[in-house]
This record gives sequence, structure tokens and C-alpha cells, in this order.
Amino acid sequence: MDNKVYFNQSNLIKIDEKVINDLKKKAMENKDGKFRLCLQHSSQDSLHEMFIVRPKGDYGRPDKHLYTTESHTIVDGAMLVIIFGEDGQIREVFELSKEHYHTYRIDTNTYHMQIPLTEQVVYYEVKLGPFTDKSNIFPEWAPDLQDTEKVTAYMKELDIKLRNFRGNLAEKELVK
Amino acid sequence: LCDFIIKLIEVDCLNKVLHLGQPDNVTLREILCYLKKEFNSESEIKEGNSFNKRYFTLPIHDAEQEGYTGRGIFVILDELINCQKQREPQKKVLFNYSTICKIGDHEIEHLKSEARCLKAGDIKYCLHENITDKVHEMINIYTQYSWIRPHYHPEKIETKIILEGKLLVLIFDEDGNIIEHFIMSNEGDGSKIVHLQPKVIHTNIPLTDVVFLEVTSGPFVAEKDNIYIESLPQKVCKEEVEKYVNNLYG
Repeated sequence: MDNKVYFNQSNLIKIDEKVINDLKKKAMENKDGKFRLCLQHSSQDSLHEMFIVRPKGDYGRPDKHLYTTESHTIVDGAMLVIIFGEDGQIREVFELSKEHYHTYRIDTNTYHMQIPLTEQVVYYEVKLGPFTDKSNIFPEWAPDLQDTEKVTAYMKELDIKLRNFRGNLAEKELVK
Repeated sequence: LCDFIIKLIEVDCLNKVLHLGQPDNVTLREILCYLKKEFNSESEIKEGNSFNKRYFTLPIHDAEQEGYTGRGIFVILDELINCQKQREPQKKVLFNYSTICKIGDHEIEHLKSEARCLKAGDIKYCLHENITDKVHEMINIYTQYSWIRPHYHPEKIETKIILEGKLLVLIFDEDGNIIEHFIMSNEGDGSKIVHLQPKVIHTNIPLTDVVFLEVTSGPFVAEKDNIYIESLPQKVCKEEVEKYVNNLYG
């Protein structure tokens, strides 16, 4: 079994603080700091529910899905959610945490990205299965994880775009 | 009619879903025809059925919001109208029609204030657009000691994430005997999330007023998806539920 992904085989699962801490520990034991607990029994199930642990600094390439909505609910920590237009321009930004939005759902065909804001973030993800190589559509304007130089450059560029986007929002608030 | 509707649009602050009472001399369809014209919507008015309640929807495209172009929709639930007319306890079911639906404390407070207007005080806010969707995600607001008849789902899973309050979860065997019970709470040692595979007989009792996210697969077919346990009662008043809980923990 992959030590980064675990599929549930129980009829009843209860997740409390201790389980969440165990998931975070398991993630830290992995080289990339990630761990995924799947509530579905296999990747072929029709509904996919996952608890995902990601570390700060982790790059999750923006993607969209043609056949499924996607939702995330915060379990521990905080992350930034960015919604993009087809051209890679930022359309919406918000924080998912206990203090801000707790859960959100996006429609099909919507480019999105999550950036961990805390040392570790744990969130619950729901989307339709089964998972295939056509499940995630990646845009050309965001580099692949393996291309580390381009990823660094893209994240710097994104940081500037985020500042501008927030600045524009703040100006709109002032105008009001 | 014009003033009436515009006023209602202004009070719509939760994902562009409107809930209207029916004016005495105007039909629901007439209201939607007016909105369709007002917003230049090319979509058809659709009539649907959810939880055995009739509703009408009208997608309105290109409703420009700050930062993105989303799409809105208006929904009128017969259920609410009946509720207003009869002043009977009702569970209100609302649907989201935004491309991006976000729920935080502000939205929860809005739903809770709507719930307070209902005698029964229970609300189900669906993040999915309609009952035919394949993924069903709902924010449930239940008042303390509400009773839901123990049941199971033959083919569907169910996941609950507690957002506010304390929820007692009971698991039964086929004869209706409790085989497990535990408390969900997003504070302290309680379970924050519970996942049930198909055929697990269960119910949940709010020990306080509660808010929780519920996830299952769709589409929803009431008579097929929820199988109730005949030996356990359909309706129980709040006082009896409270006694039941006290006995369980006594």
C-alpha cells in the first residue's frame, strides 16, 4: 500500500482530534509532507471523499474538472483558495479556516488552487469518481510540479497578482 | 408586483436564492415570468420536486458580482408558502445556485436567523443545485432534541461534519437496539466527522441547536434512499426525546 494514500475499509469512521493529529504525523513522515485518507474503498468508487494533509510551501497546480463539482471543508489549519479565469487571471480569493469560510463548493469547469497558509493544513474534499487521467485538466499558464524552476517563477508572479487583486478589492471598498 | 419583487431581490444576500411568499393575487409562475423578463434570462422556468415539495427555478446568467461573473437563480418553495399560510412546523429546504458557494459564520448566522422564523426551526441548505445532482452537500440546522426516525441508506454513504453544537449519533442493529452511540462536537474530545457506509442503521439527536455539513451521493429518491425502521417511532416530541437522551446517559 502506498504510504501517502490510505483507503478506508470500515463501515463506520469517527474522526476526532486524535485521528487528525495522527494524519498530520503520517504526513510529516512522508518526504513531501503529504497524506491522504480516502473514505471511499477504491479509486473506482462513484463518490470520492478524502482527508488531505498538505504542508506549507506545497505547490498544488491549478486545475479544473469537466464532470464534477468539488468542495472543500477545513478540518485543521488554514488555506488560501484562488479561483481563476480561463486565462489564469484571478477572479476570486478567500481563506478557508475556522475564522473565515469553513466550506465551499465550486461548479464544474472552474480553475482553482489551494495554498496552505499554516505549517500543515487538513481539509476534507468531495468530488465524483472514479478517478482517471482525464479527471483533472491542467492549464498551460501554470507549470507542472516537476518543473521546479518554473514553479518558483510562477509562485512569485502569483504573489504579485494576489497583492494587486487584493489592492483592487480594498480600493473598491474605499469607494463604497 | 414590481416593487414587491425588487424589494425581495434586495434582501437576498445568500447566494442569490430568493424565498418568496406568494402574494394573494399573483401566481408563482407570474412572478418568475416577471423576473425572467427583468433579467433578460434566456433560460426556461423549471418546475421541480424536492422532498415532496414543489419548487420553481429560473437561472439568470451573467449576474455580475465583484471579482467574477456568476449565475443566479430564483427559487420559490411551495413549502415555505404553505408554512406561512398554515403556520405549521416545517423544515425549510433551500438550494444554492452560485458557481462558487462559500459558507462561513456570516452565512450560518443568516441561515440560523431564517430558522428562527420557522416554528420547527430546522433548515437544510443544499450546496448542490437540485435533487438530481450526483453529489449532495447540505448545511443542516436542527434545533435541540429534534427527532429523525432511525433509518438506513441501502446504497449510499453518508458523512457528517459538525460545525456548531453537539450532536448525538445512535447506531442500531436490525431489531432497533442501540449498538453504539457517541457525541459529535467541534470542540473538545467529540468526533468532528462521522462517515457511514451504506446499510448502517442510524439517527442523530441534537443535544443543542446544531449546524452540520452532510454529504451523500445523489440523485435523491426519498422512498428508495431512506429505509425506516418500523419498530422505531416516526414522530417523537422534544420532551420525549430529551427523556430518551437522559435515560441513555443516566
